Amino acid sequence: MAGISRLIQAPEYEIKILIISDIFQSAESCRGRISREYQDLSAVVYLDKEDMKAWSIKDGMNVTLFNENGKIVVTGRSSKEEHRGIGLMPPSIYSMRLASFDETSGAIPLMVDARIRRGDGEVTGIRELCKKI
Amino acid sequence: MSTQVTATCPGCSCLCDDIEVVIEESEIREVGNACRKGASLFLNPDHPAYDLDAAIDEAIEILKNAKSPAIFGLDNTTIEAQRIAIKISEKLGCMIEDYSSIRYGDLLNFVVSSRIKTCTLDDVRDRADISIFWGSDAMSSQPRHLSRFSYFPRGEHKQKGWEFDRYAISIDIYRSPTAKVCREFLKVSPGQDPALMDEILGILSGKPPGSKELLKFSNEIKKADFGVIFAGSGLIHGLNRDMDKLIWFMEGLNEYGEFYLIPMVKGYNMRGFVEMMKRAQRQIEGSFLRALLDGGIDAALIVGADPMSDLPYSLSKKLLDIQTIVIDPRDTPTTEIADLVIHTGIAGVDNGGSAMRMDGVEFELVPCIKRDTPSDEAVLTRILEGL
Amino acid sequence: MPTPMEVYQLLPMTNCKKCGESTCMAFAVKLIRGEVGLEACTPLFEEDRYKDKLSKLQELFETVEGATETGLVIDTDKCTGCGNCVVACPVNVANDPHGTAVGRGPTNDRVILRVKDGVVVASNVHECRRFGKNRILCDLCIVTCPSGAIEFV
Ligand code: SF4
Ligand code: SF4
Ligand code: SF4
Ligand code: SF4
Repeated sequence: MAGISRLIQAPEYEIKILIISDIFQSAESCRGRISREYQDLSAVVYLDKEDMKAWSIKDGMNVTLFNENGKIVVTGRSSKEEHRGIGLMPPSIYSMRLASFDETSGAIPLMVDARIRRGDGEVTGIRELCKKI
Repeated sequence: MSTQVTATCPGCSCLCDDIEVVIEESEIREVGNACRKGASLFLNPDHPAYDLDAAIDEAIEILKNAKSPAIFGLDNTTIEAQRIAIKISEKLGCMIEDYSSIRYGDLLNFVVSSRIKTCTLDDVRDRADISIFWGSDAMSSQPRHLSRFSYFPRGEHKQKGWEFDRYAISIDIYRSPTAKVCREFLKVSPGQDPALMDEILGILSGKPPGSKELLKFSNEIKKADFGVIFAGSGLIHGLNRDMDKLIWFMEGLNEYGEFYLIPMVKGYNMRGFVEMMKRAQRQIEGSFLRALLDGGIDAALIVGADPMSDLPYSLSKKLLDIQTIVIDPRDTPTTEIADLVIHTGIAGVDNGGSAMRMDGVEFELVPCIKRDTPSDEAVLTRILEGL
Repeated sequence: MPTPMEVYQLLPMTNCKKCGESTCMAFAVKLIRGEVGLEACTPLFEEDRYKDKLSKLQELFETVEGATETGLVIDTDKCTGCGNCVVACPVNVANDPHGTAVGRGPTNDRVILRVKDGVVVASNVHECRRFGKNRILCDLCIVTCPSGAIEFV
């Protein structure tokens, strides 16, 4: 079964997620972090244009990001900058679902290893991420 | 009838004090000079009314019944509220922590205790020849930093204009919006910041430069009388939290001119919290994150913070297991999971108080409209009294 | 923004000089800069065979609606309200030495750029250095903008 579901799933690629501030998202966060507007600006990963071509991801397409910490569905957007193999995400409950805590240093990472694949349904809702899994 | 008042913005650690607010029928109609982030704070609608007395009683109950409570957040609240939170922690004998060491390691303590030389943003505007944004992206986090202090304005000894008078460089692992407007951008690979520091001091002492950009940068350092490093969490990560390396680098630079460091803190009043802890002769004991992870906390009083959005899930999910009281003006994932939410006003908009800019200069936040929403300070005072 | 070549190809390309310019290309350049109006090319309006070209041109220049007389266009969706352009603009500096020049909000009404409700707004554009008899190709508000929110068309 596992074999079949892997066959029908889109191919996966390795990606590094760099968590960086985005002024538009942070301006929206001043109003609250539950709203649809905030979700639209947070549940997104900005991808390198060449990566998008190589991975057949189009601007505005939903993508799944996952690693040992969790899985989220966000919108893939094309970045104005070049950063092959790296996806940019603003700090939010979305990017934090993928981040791991460095117990030795006590630091929250800015860079996270994950995998990406095309599609897989609706963007994960913020309230869903607040629930216990 | 409309009136205009000048306000101070609590949107980030720049605390811009030139915000022109137009008020009509006790509503804010227009906000001048604030950036997009600041404006969105001022143009925020009020919260629906709720039963404050009941909420405060409940908060007191939760804290009284807790075996090992903790207080967390506090970078986005006033000095007055921070002082009372510190008192509550003394009363409860509990842990209190903000994000300063989580995000910046020991940097803030070193700056506050003058182990790293620092200056004010007004000094920067009046004198700085060179601004170094190292692992910090002002354009995204402190949007008016460059226009008010660090690059574009004229200052007392900077009369010719930024094109002639100043040099700004961004050192980062990616080309940030700040890098786009700086004269130079130096890309550093993750974790290579110590090596870059070695290389820069090496070139300054006569070693051959590895690249044209580095040579240019080193020449600018040599030319400069007054330089400032605006240190962000990117630098702290890049150094793997090694503050000795940073101190060594600052000392090295100071052989060529006056070089200072200002921490580009997130949270409009993180600097204030660190100063208040120092004044109260308190140190952060233990680590909130570790205690959370180890199950060492059974209740958390969270003030002006959204750990559900700020912390990796392995940590934030622990908040679901404990009692949480959240005092915050906004609805956030943390208020969503909280056992008790007390919505407060925004300092400088609905409530008063004071705060410290990233450089340690204190500003008063005067409310510009009258609303019934209580301040963090008022809520915390009543909790303290009730304990 | 359209290039001179794109505009040129939509003009009659006859170099008839009725617009007062020596060539259609020269007219195209001025049209883009906003120094002349489309109506100066009378053949476009008089001759039926240019009907399609005319409507395309009108469409092209309609998209830059909201442009001020100097062709200054601000994309407020992109603007972060950082004020870099406000403080860097030489006219702001000259007209407001104690406000925008030192990084603060404007202290008078003679500035070109100011920030309102979190985004930049323009006024007094006739004072812009790109405008008038002694114009220069000033681009200080463009190069200081982190988000490409300012354009001249
Ligand atoms: S830079 Fe910071 S303090 Fe200044 S207006 Fe913007 S958010 Fe407010
Ligand atoms: S009037 Fe029109 S056709 Fe004649 S030269 Fe000018 S632009 Fe060309
Ligand atoms: S082009 Fe120059 S003068 Fe005109 S608005 Fe921009 S900066 Fe000011
Ligand atoms: S520099 Fe650009 S982003 Fe900043 S205020 Fe001006 S137009 Fe807006």
